[in-house]
Amino acid sequence: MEKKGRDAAFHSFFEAESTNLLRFATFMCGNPDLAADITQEALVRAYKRWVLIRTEEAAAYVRRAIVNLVRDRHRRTVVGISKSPSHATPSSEQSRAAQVDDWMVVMDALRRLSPMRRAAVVLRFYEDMSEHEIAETLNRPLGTVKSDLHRALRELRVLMEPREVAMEEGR
Amino acid sequence: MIDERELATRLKSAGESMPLRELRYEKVLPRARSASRRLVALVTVVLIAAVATAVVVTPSFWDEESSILEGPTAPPHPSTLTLEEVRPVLQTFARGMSGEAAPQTWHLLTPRAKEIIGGRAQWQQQLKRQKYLFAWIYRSDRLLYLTPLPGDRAVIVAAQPEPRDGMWLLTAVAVQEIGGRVLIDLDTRPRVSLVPESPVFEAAAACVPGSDDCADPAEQMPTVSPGDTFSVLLQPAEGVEAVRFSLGGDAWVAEAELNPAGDGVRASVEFNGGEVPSGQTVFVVSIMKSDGTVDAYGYRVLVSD
Repeated sequence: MEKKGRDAAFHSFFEAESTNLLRFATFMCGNPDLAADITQEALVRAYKRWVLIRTEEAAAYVRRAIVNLVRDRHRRTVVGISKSPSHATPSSEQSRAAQVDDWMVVMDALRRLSPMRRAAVVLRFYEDMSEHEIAETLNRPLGTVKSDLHRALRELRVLMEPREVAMEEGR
Repeated sequence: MIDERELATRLKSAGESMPLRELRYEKVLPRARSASRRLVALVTVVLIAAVATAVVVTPSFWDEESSILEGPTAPPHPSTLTLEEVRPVLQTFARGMSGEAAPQTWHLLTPRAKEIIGGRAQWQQQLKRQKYLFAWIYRSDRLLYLTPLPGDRAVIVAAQPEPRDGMWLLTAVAVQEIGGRVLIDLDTRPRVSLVPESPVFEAAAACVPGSDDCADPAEQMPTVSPGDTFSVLLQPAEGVEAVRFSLGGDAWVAEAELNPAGDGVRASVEFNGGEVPSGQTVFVVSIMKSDGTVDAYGYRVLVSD
């Protein structure tokens, strides 16, 4: 009975959050296939500790697990979207191609940030979390999160603008 | 220059266009359940192990073997160690070695002996070889002599075979008092090879009863007289720092003179008689090595006036 209850709650959580979590993981590692593996692993970890995790904290727990898994991989290997051509499948449609181009530019810049700064940026500017929420989600001091965001933004300005100019010139 | 708002727009646009793989609940759940079961199994195993450990370390559990685990306590001053104080330690050790509790004897070894042996796994491997020797000591109950070594760290305990087995002292074991306990300072490394050169040794041989290289027990007991020169050839010479000859316990102890000889070193000394009473006694050759360990060979001899 208890197991069924756990499964039902986990299923509801999966239905509600899995796509967001998968998107977050894809932002974090840049590789859709790897992101699916990492998200699955993070969900498995959450299931194992489901009785200890409060429902409202579950999403933060899984995001934290995703960040940790990405950091573990980051230590072992250099994760780069440029090394995994599988994601670069631009559509023949012009608009789709432009979107993919933009995605590649953003991801190329993001992957140059440290995993923690990358996570802070995605949570702040993609998921619209407040700095307090980011601090809670990543289990980091608020000051550190602010510092991470400030520095990440400064890095991204440098990383993203030259490509913008080049793209503008190409058009 | 890109600002926060633009960055948010770019990220949201990228998020919409990013290729996403499908994440199927039907695939996640079995893995999660399997991992959860493994976790439960692991926790169960750890709990069982913890309970078992708690039971095993309870003193009452070891009532039968407590003497093997703990060993007798030594008096506070190592210089006052006597054969009677050391005997129970070696007996305990030998009793453990000769029985099923052999692995427990690990606790009765000095830290240095443990380091030399290299760990419990190595000890398990060496038990067979050591077991025979100590089983014999335990059965024979004939610990014969206590010889002090330089410093206060150790003594040599000599064991004697049954008279019908032969006439010679067969082994010697170092012990050390640490923290009020007498521990066995066993050195299981290959010994320095000793070749007796003096006539007094001709009839004697350092051997273990039953082993292939044991001399014929029917040999005559060698006789030692004042003025005799004792000489042994030790090979290899490396690691040999000093050699002591002793006779009758600490009644006569002499540092041997060392001279290079072929691939080894020759240790020799003249017996001056000293205070050694006539009659049967034990002649011990102690080889102090540069790593702090001691090899010891013993011979049972007859001292004559």
